[in-house]
Parts: sequence; C-alpha cells; structure tokens
Amino acid sequence: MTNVNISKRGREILRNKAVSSAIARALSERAHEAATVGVWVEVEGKKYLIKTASALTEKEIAAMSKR
Amino acid sequence: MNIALSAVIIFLLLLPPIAFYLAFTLGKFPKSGPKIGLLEGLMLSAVISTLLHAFAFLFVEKEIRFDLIALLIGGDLKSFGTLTNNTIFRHLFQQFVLYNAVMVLIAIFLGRTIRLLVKNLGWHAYAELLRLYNYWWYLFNGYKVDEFANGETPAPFDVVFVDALVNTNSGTMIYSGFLIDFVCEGEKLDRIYLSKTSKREFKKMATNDKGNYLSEEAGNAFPIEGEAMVIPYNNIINLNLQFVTFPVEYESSTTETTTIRIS
Repeated sequence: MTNVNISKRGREILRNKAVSSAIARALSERAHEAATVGVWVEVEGKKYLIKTASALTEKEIAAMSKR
Repeated sequence: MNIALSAVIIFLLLLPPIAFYLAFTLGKFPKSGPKIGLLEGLMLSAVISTLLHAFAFLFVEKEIRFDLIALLIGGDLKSFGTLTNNTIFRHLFQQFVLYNAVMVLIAIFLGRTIRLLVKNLGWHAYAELLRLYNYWWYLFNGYKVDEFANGETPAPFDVVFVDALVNTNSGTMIYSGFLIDFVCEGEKLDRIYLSKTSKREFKKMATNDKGNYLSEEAGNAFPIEGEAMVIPYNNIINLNLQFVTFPVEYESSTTETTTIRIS
C-alpha cells in the first residue's frame, strides 16, 4: 500500500523493470523535454510518450481525467 | 471539596466538541493541531460546549436537575443528602451518562460525516480551515503544480519522479527515482521511498590547466540495484518533483501491425 496516488497505468509501468528503468533514465537526462514537448522512449518494441503534467494538452488532460 | 469529581463532570461536559474535532481530523497524514495552549483550548471547548448543550436542551423534555449538577461541580457535598436520595440519584446519574454518550456519539458521527463530505467534494484542498492532510501530502499528490494551482483539483499524473539533492559522506549527490511512498511525523516529512533509483554527483570533478575543480555539470548516473531506496529527510537538501504521465503508447515499427493506445 502506498500513500502516493500512483495510477493503474503507473503501477503497470513500475512493475516492468526494463520499461520503468528506461523511463527513469529518460526523465533524469531529458527533464526539460519531458516538461515541454514530451519524450519518446522506445523499449521492448513499444514506444512510450512521457510528459510531465505541465506539458499536457487540454485534450490529454481531458483523456486522463476520464481514466 | 471534591475537586476530582468536579473535574470529571466538567470534562464530560466538554467532551462533545473534542470528540467532533478528533473525529474530523483523525486519518492518515493529519495536519497539525491548532497552536493554542491548554487553557485557551479548554476555554474554546467550554464556549462551544455551552452552545451545544444549550441547543441539546431544546430536545430534552424531562426536568434537568441543574441544582444537583451545580452542587457536584462545586464539590461541596454536605447538602447532597437533602437534595436527593440514592434511588433518585441512580436514575439521574444513568440519564446524565446516557445524555453525554448520545452527545459524544452525535459529535463523532457529525465529525466523520463532515470529513467525508469535505474529502469527496475537494473542499479540503482550498479552504485552510477544512484542510485534512499535512502540506507534504498535498505536494506529493499533485496539488502544488503551477499550471493546476487553482487548488481545487490535483494535477493528473501516473507516477511521481523525484530528484533529491542529498548530503552524503562522499559529498552532495542527486538521487533520482519514482516516488513510491513517504512517511510523515505530523507536519514533518520523515523519509521518502524511491524505486528504480540512480545516483549521480551534484557537481562532477573536472580538470583544466590549473588543476581539478568542481564543474557546474552533474556527474554520470549510476543505477542502484534494489526494490526500494529509503532516504531520510534529515539528509535531503531539496526535492525536485516531476508529475509524469504516459498519455500515448504504441507498438514500434518493428512489428507489422501498429496499435496506438491513448489512455
């Protein structure tokens, strides 16, 4: 049990060691991009767009609130 | 004079507002209590109790023996035998206990109900009086993000990524990782838990023709193997938080069919 509101999707990603490690590395090295246009991370044949909350578009915010 | 007996009776009468306050604030990561002294607290509780009891008396149809209550609170029990006898006092005592029990139960019920309302309607996030949690809880749950700082709703996020500047024996280091939990003691943060943690020097050593110096660049990141990394807040200089979202995911071109997932 955690006291941080990690989403279901967040938990899925954290459970996958390869994906979460790649994302952690990208966030460390390309924090500015993640906070502006977003960073694409390719791992295990999948591409993930990573954005910080402040970089989300209105459409993405609306989609996230529907989760 | 029996001071202990009067103290017990006064305490029982002051209990409903205290029970309400405790029922309202009791929960994880509670905010710190009001910074008032014992005397001020008791006086405030007495004022609220007086109002509550005055309101409750509207619904009590039976005679209230204020003379006996005043006698017991005064502590001079010499005339006790002339005011009542054992049989009547037994009945009055049971009614007094029942009245106080009902008042405390109503106070607890109201406290929990109002807490639930305040929590579900989000009022706790923007009204200081109704704030339920400590400031760290609001920070780690996305309530302090600039673009979403209307204070009513938290920023949407999937995970929180933390860069913690930490004092260590080998100098100042940056520990980065996903925030998986945190522990507070009252309003104070005690420790944070990170996963997929890496560490790097805050300022890496560089060399020029004059010798070695600390550059403004951070060092290379080294992953730390393990499931969870604990960092005590005592050692943390500052924290940088990124509320990370994964809005789009799709299969890369190495596969024939491309599926896009927009969450």
